[in-house]
Amino acid sequence: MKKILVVEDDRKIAKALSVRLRSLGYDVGFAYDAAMALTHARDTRPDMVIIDINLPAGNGFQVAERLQEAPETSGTPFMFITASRKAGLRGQAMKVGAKSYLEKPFLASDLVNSIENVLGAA
Amino acid sequence: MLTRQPDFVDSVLDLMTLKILIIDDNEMDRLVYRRCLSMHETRVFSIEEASSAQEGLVLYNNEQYDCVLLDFHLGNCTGIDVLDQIVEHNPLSRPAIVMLTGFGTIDGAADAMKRGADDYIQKSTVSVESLGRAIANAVEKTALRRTVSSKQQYLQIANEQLTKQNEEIKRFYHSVSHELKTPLTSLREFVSMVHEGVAGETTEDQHDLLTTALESCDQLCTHLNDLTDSVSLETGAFRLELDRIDPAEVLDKSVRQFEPLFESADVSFSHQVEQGLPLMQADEARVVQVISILLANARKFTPAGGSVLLKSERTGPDGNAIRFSVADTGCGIEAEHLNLVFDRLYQVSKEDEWGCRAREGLGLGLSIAKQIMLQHGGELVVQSVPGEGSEFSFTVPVSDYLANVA
Repeated sequence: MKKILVVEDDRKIAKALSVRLRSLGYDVGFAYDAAMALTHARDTRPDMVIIDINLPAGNGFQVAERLQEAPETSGTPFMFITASRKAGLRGQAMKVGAKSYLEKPFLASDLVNSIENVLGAA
Repeated sequence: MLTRQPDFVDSVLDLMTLKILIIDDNEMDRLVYRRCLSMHETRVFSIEEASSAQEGLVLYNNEQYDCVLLDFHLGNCTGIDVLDQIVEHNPLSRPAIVMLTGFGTIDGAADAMKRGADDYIQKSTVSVESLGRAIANAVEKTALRRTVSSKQQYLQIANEQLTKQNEEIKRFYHSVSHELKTPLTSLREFVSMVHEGVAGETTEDQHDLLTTALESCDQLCTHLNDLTDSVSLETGAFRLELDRIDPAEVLDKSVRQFEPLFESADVSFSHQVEQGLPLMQADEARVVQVISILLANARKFTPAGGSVLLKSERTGPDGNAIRFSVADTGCGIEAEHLNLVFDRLYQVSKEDEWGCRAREGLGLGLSIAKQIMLQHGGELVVQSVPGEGSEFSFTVPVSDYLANVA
């Protein structure tokens, strides 16, 4: 069973993703801020990470960079989700190494497709 | 002839006493100027004298003068040095400066003018009339200069405030949009999961109700995005992220998204893609957005039983563009509205025998779509026959990349 780590500070979205991803057969872990994300990733070694760009005390990009720096998690593929529509954000996200990028709110089918792409890219 | 500015000049002329500082190392010359000025018909001059540059600068620093008469040759330094010091010390509110030149120093006079002197007068041509006139002109010129400079400062401050306000508006809309989208995300996810049976099988009725709920979620999301995009376009923050994009994929995405929506509206939806279309230079998400706007409109204004066709084909001289079109058999657009539909917030609102819905949406869609197309270097146009239908179409340039030969 593949393990997905979700880094998202909004508890309701986190819960929705938990139900959705578990119903699809994934094992799901959660982190609500940047620091938690890194320790969790190192401890549980997920197969991929979904990162919300807007996080308290640090942002999604920083999480992505630290993940790639740490030897235990440097090969773990990741994707971003965001409610922001700022110009150039998608391009920036891909430059940082994201394998996919979704705007909130997302279609369930788009989420599933993105996850499959990212896991396939490992 | 320069037009007079009301404020400063009129008040000066009203006072009629102009404070003059004469800096000239020749005692006779100073006497001549004093005499000329004292004999002036209409104006009264209050005069102070300095016989050297140093003395002149001391007086200048201690008093406010309306005009400085400055000799070119001041013994051990030139009038230009004094001129430079005065101009540098107080570029915006300095007094008028008239240079007094001896015979054969025309070049020097031109140089002085460039460095900020308001006028020059050859000593040999000094008279009651000519000296008075030179001073009056210089004073008027100075008054104008001060008015212009203070207006410039005012405009700069106003501009800075507007820029700041613009930034605040942008931030506000981004923040509001973000805050609204967060609960909307979990809302959509939960409704969607029940709809799909993740929480257990649903009855047909439950499924239908939830389908409508989901449509509302998506409409809400579109409205929020339209609002953000509109503000983004308005404040100049909008940017395209261009890449080489496959038009067939773009069409595919739009079809998948709208097939269920047309089905629920009982409108027949079909699509045509020309074979072998080359890649286009575009922002994929934005082109999908434009097609969505057109398809949503087509759905809104086409009654049940009607049809909508989405097409993609090559076009333009040398086939250098891709044309997308959305044609519907809806109520059409009256000729007088045709030019106005792309205006921001313009909405056609009618209830007619074909049962077209009266009002839905923010009215921003087409103006956003048009702007997106303009930024792509293409255009968005419409043709329509009231009662028969409309066709909206736009073109996107083909990617120039050399390896991409269709």
